[in-house]
Amino acid sequence: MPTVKVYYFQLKAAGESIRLLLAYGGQEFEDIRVAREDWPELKPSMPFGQMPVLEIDGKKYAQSTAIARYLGRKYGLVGKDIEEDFEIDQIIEFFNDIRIKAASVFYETDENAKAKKQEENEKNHYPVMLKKLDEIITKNKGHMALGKLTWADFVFAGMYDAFKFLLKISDLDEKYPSFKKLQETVLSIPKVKAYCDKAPKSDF
Amino acid sequence: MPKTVLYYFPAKALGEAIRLLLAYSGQDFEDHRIKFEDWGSFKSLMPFGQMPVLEIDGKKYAQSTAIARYLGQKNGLAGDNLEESFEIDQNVEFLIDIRDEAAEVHYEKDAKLKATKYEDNLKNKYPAMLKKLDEIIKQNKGHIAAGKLTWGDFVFAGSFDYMKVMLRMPDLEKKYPSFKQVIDAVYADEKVRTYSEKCPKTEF
Repeated sequence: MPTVKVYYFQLKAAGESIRLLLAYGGQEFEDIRVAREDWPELKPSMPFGQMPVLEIDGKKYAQSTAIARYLGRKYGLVGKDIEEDFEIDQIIEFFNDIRIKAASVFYETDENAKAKKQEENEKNHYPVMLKKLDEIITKNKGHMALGKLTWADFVFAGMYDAFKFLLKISDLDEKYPSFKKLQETVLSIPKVKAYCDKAPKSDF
Repeated sequence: MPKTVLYYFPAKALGEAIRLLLAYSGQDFEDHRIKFEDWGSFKSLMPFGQMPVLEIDGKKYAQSTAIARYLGQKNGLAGDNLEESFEIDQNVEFLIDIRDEAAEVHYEKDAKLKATKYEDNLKNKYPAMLKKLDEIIKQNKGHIAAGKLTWGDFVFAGSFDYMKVMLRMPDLEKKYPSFKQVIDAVYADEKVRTYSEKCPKTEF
């Protein structure tokens, strides 16, 4: 049995999909949640000075989406060929685009610019992008791609609460019921649920 | 021979990696460059209302990194195993992180904020990130990952001029000769060279 560790902050956000995937795969792992004040000391030992990092028998894997795809492939949460795998990659990239737009508001320190960006996003970007995402999930019978469970669903489920927080759309669940439903689909998988029931809780 | 069309603006930016990969694959393609003023009438035809879009026998593929990975997998440029494929994904995700940081500044509309952000990035972000990228390429013998030519090299080479403009570092490859090694590795291919000699020239 390999020794597996996940290093991330005390959050779900970009690290949770990895934890959920490992749980799905029945892989025991050390869930290392680094407190902010302890991070500077740990930072130099991470491949890109960032987290999440997955460590398997001492080998470090970085970059959250790359890790999720790797575990997805290991656990058969992929398409049957290159064409199908592309579809997963495509929707993930689009989902990431929306997240980046929202994160850009979050990380903006100038209060005026922050408000302006949020307004622009709400007016020009979120309606179209979220509608598109909703259409895709609906078309795929409650999944991100291929009409079935793939690693993309785990990325979505893990990120969803942070995503909602970043978007600042308080009624997101009501506006797009397919989103919460997809998250629930992943979180209700028995092995995943077992992990979540025991894991430390965080808002996002 | 499948009818292949690449839709993008008259720019390299995020589309060039795909053109270079198509050239490398020996696949004839229509290099459909859509001027910004004409884009409005095409936008609704594209899966996500964006470009680049690759169309093969009428089927549309969107999202630039997903497309590059797909073409990489089709043409033996995606690593020989799961670990190598992961490494490419990881290092490309890091490369895109740098690109996203630079884009955040580049696309800032407020002149004062733009200047502040640029200074902050120049001081606090770019040096460490570019140094890391340089180390990675050196470790990989002049490549982005796996010590050999992969689709990651094409993403790097295709977006390099765009990166330079956004970073405001016109002599970037002089500062980091390893960057030129990656570009040279891509253009060492005769088909890639033939394409680049004949294609319309753009600044980035």
